[in-house]
Amino acid sequence: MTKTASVVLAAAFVAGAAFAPASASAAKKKPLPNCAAKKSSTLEATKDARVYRLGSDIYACRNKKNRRVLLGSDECQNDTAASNFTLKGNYVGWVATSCGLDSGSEQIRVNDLNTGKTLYAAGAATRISGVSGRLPASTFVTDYVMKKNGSVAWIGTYGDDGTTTIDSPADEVQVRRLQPGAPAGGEIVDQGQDVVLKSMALAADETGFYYRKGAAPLFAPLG
Amino acid sequence: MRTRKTALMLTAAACAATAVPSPASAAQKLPRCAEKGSRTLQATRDGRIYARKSTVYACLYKKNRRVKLGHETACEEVPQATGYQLAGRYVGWVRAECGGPEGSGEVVLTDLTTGQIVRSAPAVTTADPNQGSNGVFDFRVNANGSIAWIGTYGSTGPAPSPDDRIQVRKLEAGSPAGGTLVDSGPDIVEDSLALTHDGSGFYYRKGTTPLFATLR
Repeated sequence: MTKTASVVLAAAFVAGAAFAPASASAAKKKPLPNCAAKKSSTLEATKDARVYRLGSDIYACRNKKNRRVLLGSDECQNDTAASNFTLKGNYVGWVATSCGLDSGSEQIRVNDLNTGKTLYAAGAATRISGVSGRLPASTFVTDYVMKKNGSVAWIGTYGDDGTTTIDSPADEVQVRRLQPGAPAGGEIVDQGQDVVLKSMALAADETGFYYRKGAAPLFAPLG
Repeated sequence: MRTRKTALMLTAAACAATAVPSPASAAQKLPRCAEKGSRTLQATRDGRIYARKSTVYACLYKKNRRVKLGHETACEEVPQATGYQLAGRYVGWVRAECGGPEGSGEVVLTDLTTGQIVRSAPAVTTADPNQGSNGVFDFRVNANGSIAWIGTYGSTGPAPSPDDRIQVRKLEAGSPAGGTLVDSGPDIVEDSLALTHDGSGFYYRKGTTPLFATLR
């Protein structure tokens, strides 16, 4: 009786053993969805693409291409931190931050997710007023918009005291844009300490962007 | 002998354990808000809008519960859901209904945590809502559940005034039913609407003049 039971169990085991690897290999064969990565967390997503963190690295990936593009990390000291992502068309727009102990600098960047290459990169703002300030200064991108073709417009600050606060004559606020034919580093659309730092918005038809200067809404074309 | 029996029982148990949960675990592997046979219409970090068998659903990943919005294409016998936008826990969308030569549209805000419609308003206010056709040309919704939109009024019926054929309207907490008229005029640029990133206001253009209005 015991012997019979043992034989039955052994047969069941053999059948199970034969079944188990099959299901395991089937599970192994099932590919991850495009742009998925184990242990990653999504930072931004659209129907067509995804930006995610994996460890301390930040990647962008377009579903159709299924190829990840390294943007930066989540640490700005001795590294380039990537944040504020916009996914549109083939492109990802983002802000690159490098920082020291008492100052930092930001860049606006646009990468092509098909090639991984940088389409645009420019500093947040440049000193143009001629007012001498304390160095090192900090530059920040306070707001930006990006079109489907990768053209970007942004509001950048040049902070004399290392902060985003505009409280010194040496501080500057600039509205800038990068579009086909623009000079490297972009062009200044407007400037003035009364430009509202987070007032930018892209028009639905993508012909241009809005921002406010004091209480006045303004519109500028974006190619 | 006892040792051999115990070993067999353990191996049999292990065998059963590996075999039984496989189909269940395979079923559990569907990502949140995923549904077989569905097609993504829009997605954000927080949720997904998808069509399945021509019905449009919205779903928050945190909640993992689908909320039916409307039909994807038809608008004659069932309301059509178009122009959906996810913002925080809300989805703003346009409910379109059509019949004969006329049609009507309204903006709708649905809370995806409860599945309930929070607020809705017709595309425009007209002297006689039963005459003419109206539609929502464009709209924006913020994370607080406030909506701004540009509505248009068709020509088969009288508008309150010729200037009211295009209206900029907003609907927010505390708004009167039907929303608030922000601006109107034939020179409002229909595809000029833009929401600030913090959702505190929106822009539009009237002719070449950019204008700004706050949104709660």
